[in-house]
Amino acid sequence: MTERKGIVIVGTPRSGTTLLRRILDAHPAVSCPPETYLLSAAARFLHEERFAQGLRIGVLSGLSFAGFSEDDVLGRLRAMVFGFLDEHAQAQGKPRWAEKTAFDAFHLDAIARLCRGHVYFVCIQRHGLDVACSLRDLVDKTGGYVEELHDYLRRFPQPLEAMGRAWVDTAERVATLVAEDPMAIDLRYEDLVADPEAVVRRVLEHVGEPWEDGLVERALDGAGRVGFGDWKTYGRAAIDDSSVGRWKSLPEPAIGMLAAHCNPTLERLGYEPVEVRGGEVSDEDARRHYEMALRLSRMKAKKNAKSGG
Amino acid sequence: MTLTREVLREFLATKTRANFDNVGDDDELFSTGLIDSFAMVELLGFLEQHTGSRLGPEDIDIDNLDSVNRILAFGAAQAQG
Repeated sequence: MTERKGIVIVGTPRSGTTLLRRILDAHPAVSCPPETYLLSAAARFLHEERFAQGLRIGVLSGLSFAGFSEDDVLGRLRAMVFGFLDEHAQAQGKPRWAEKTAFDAFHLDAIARLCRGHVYFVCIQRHGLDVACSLRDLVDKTGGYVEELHDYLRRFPQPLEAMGRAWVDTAERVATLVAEDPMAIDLRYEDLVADPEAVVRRVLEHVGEPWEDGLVERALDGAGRVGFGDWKTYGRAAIDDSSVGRWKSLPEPAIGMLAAHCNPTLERLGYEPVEVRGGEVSDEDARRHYEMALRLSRMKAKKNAKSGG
Repeated sequence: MTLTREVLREFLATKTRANFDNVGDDDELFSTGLIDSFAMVELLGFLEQHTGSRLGPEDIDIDNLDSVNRILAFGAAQAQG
């Protein structure tokens, strides 16, 4: 019998967390529902601010004045959150639960405070520039920004830069969790898509469950439960690495801008730093290239109109 | 500086994220939409970098830039000055 039942998947949104969720949910011993937002809601409950003289203002310090210890409050909150997940797992006929909500990574400090010592953390990282591209696509598709990104967009009006900065902060938090918590395992998206079985075997060994033949195939067969999460994985019947390195299609100035912000974190995580080729493009060259491309676009429109007519 | 077929094809495959194994050296790239205007801006900078030339509006003709072979021929002419 495994002592710790809960498994919490964390990673910056668009890092493969939904793919991991679907695979774990396909295991006969683990129930991982679509995104519940339970942990980020609990993190908001625990939100506190530090004021002058170092006084913390929030529910933990507020209740401490009423005689409730921090351990007591955290224990009650944990019991409520885990209770939903336990009950759901039981309803699925499974002994263990896993939880994954993409934007939990923005609330990781509070989530670690609530869960540390009581769950296995499964942490996944992905190349920051690919995450920035993918987050930008997500925003294009959904037509809006979730609250966790608002502050980044206020400070950095270029969406790609905002997404790159968000990746740096969340990836650093995830890396810190891995460094501090012996019950956290560190994975890479690029390894998961290159060799899913090897990575999933590591995860199952970490959480104390046996490997199941056909697990990955079962996860992708379309029988999974529908709910909040990354829609892209639902459109795939097999895992492939076509999304690895997509940042290379970005214009060089955008790559240079992202590299400047992301390279230190990429190196901390063991990725090669992004090399900036060609240096800075002068304003004059940028304008000249733009004008020439516009001229080509006009030529293309004329050519296509002629061939169409 | 010489622009080789391999370097050009790799650049185009990276910037378009298309499977260039299925794109022939004479296939139209821009007219068919395989390369969009943004990728074309990148291509012009890439050509200047690899040929050591500075392109001007008078150099721009869709017929010079619409396939791998035409880009290579255009690049070679630019490199010779």
